[in-house]
Amino acid sequence: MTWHGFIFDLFTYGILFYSLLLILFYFFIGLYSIGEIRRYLRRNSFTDFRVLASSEQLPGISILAPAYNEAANIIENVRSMLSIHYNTLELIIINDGSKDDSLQKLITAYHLYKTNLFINEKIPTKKVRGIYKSNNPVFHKLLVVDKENGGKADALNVGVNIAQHGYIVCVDVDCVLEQDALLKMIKPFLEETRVRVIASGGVIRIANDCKIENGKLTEINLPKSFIPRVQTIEYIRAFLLGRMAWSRLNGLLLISGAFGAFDKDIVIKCGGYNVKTVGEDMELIVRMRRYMEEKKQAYKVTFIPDPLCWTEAPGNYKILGRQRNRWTRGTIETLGMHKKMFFNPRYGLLGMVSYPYWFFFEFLAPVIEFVGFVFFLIFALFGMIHWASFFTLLGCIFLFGFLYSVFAILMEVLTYNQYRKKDVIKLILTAFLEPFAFHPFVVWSALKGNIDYIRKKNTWGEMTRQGLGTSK
Amino acid sequence: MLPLLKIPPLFNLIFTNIDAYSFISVIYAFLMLLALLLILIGGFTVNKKRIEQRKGLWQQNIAGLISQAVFSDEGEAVFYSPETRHLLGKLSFRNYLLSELIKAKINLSGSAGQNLKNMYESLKLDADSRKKLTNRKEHIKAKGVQQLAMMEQVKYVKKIFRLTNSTNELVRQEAQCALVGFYGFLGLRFLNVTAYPISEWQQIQLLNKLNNVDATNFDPLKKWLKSPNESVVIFALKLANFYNCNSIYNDIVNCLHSPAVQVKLYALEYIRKMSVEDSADQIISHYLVANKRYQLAVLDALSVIGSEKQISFVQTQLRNDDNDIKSAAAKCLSQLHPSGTAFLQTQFFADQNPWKEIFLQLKTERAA
Repeated sequence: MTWHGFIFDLFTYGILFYSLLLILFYFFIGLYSIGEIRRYLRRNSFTDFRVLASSEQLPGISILAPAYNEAANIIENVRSMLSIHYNTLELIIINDGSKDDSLQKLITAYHLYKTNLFINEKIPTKKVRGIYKSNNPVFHKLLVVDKENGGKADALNVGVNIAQHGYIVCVDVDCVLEQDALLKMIKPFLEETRVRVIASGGVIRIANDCKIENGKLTEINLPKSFIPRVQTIEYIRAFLLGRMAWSRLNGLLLISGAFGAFDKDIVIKCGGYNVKTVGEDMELIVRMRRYMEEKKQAYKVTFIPDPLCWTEAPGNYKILGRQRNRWTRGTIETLGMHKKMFFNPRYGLLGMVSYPYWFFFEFLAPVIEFVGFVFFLIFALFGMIHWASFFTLLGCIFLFGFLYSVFAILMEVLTYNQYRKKDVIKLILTAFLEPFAFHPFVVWSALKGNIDYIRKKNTWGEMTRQGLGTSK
Repeated sequence: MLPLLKIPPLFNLIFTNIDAYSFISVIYAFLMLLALLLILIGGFTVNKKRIEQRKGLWQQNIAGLISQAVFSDEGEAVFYSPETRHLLGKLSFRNYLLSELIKAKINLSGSAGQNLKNMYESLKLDADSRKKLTNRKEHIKAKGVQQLAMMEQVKYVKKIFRLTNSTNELVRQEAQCALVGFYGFLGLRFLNVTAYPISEWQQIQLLNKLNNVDATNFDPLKKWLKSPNESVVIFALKLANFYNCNSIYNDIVNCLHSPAVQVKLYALEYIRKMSVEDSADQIISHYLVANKRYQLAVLDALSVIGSEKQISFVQTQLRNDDNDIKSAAAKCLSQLHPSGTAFLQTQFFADQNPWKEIFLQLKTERAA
């Protein structure tokens, strides 16, 4: 065999094997998630969360919400979080050196005064400038921390150091939480008797064009513009199928930074959030799992399919590109930091399945997809393959992607069914357009993320938001 | 075709030997699957709408039945129209009626609640619920238990009691809640035999059911405190705390010797609330060999139940290596010492960190 013959063989065999494996994984994830969602819905249909919300027996929870230049909506966002139904709650807002008047607005709106609080710095952080409590007993659950700018991870670490309760829930300050979100999030920690639940994630849904009144979601609408609408499908696919399946396997590697609950004790033992990565949410979960594996302690990372947290998705390609670029860099950094686990049997499922899956099908997927597409296009251009074969192959890939999206929409309809009939049709049409008008851009942004990682670019990237509000 | 390149076998196989027809077959298969999914989405949406419409039609009927039952006098029979009688023969209608009855029952008590219960029995809906207990699907079995419990069907207690040890967690939990719903504290007798751990969540649910339920005989607690099932011991400690039960104080003090940290912590919580003269000394006696969590809980308890007698012990903890212990000890001392936070300032290290910050926090808290 000639050298170029060998390369061709390697390429074609490689792409074929990779594609088949990826499709098999998707089939597996899709089907495996069904059982977990069904089990969850059946179990929870027996619980009256409304009755339990006021129970004094529930363990305390500290909500940690970092804020950077959020002055526009911070008052409403804090009010929304203070109205959550949970008895023993502490809300810690961490002002991460905002350049706007976020802090002053909070001081005025919530009658805050500067107090002295000893912080046992179990996790090293940037300097805390001041801690504020409210004079008004109505806001007794609120604690505002003003600190030097150090990034989201550093702000969360300050929150971990200050939190009084054993469970912490980390949220983005601009998210809108459902009223019973905390009860549902804490349940997995309390109902498990055999292993220790170290973290639990919840579904994030897109709130663009939804109606929000007094910090509460009052009407669910499908986003009117295309980009957030595609992300609605993406999120349904990722959360309802992917994360549920991985949760059932106990192989979940990522809990979204926008909404996740953690066992504080383990977070501290692991050293808190890593400030050296832009993927601090994924890195923390990987490190916590690694810690438990190394200590040989039985543990679990759970995920619940209820739509509990609503957030604004990027509304244009510029912001979306920055977000996906950052996600890619975060993934590469996390995988790099924990490369020791790659196919390492010592880490069990984590090392043998979860990590390799993320490496091959999350990190490498856009690269392989891009390279594969370019090569096959060249082959077709040079007549090495028939154009008919090229387009049929492309058609197969497109159809499989569309099929998977439609399956995700079916699962949404069968479970939470939050969108109207005409919206479901719109979602299906959007899924059809996704491979043409959205997916190539996401792949391109991921490639740029790879390039930026090589260039050692480690900025967060400005995430301008339009703000959630009343729908027109 | 590139003249210099030799096409490898697999490549050849896929892209030259196999004609477009084979690929089209694959696409066809995908399209079939896609059509199936689209039909499922459409079918489900239409079916859901149909069910909602049907329920809408039944709703008026059911609302009439429920209001008749709620406002009827004792012994007065509920009138069933021919249409209702016909519908009562349909399982789907009976299931819907049952769920609506339960919803109404949750919000009603006294004679109105009793009337709903009578209606449930007279329509033999209890037989429908009981039948569910033998269903192979565990969630249906659990639903049956829940329905019988909601409708106070004590006559099925034997069957339900057996399910408190079911291998299925959901069934087990519903059966345990049902017993507590029937008999209050006495319903907890399943704790004598339960072979499975009772999750914290289930304990919260059970305690929630015991709200406003009186109990007089706490003797079973003594037995549960000695249970080999650690979760039963913990739950017994919570119960003792919940009921302010002082008759088993000594049994609970013995729990401080338990190797299980959770047991010790809940025992401490009870002692903090139900303390006697020597409680403070008793909890201190376990202090040095315990872990940090227990030590913090002891210092916290001492700030409530301690006296000047313990000041010297707590003072030693101010120099502990751990800052959390230092902080808890300072807080405790500020409560125990007659001079309060001023006493802390007399310590020779009061101007050094972290004590300086700890003492400042306590001073601010006191002032507030």
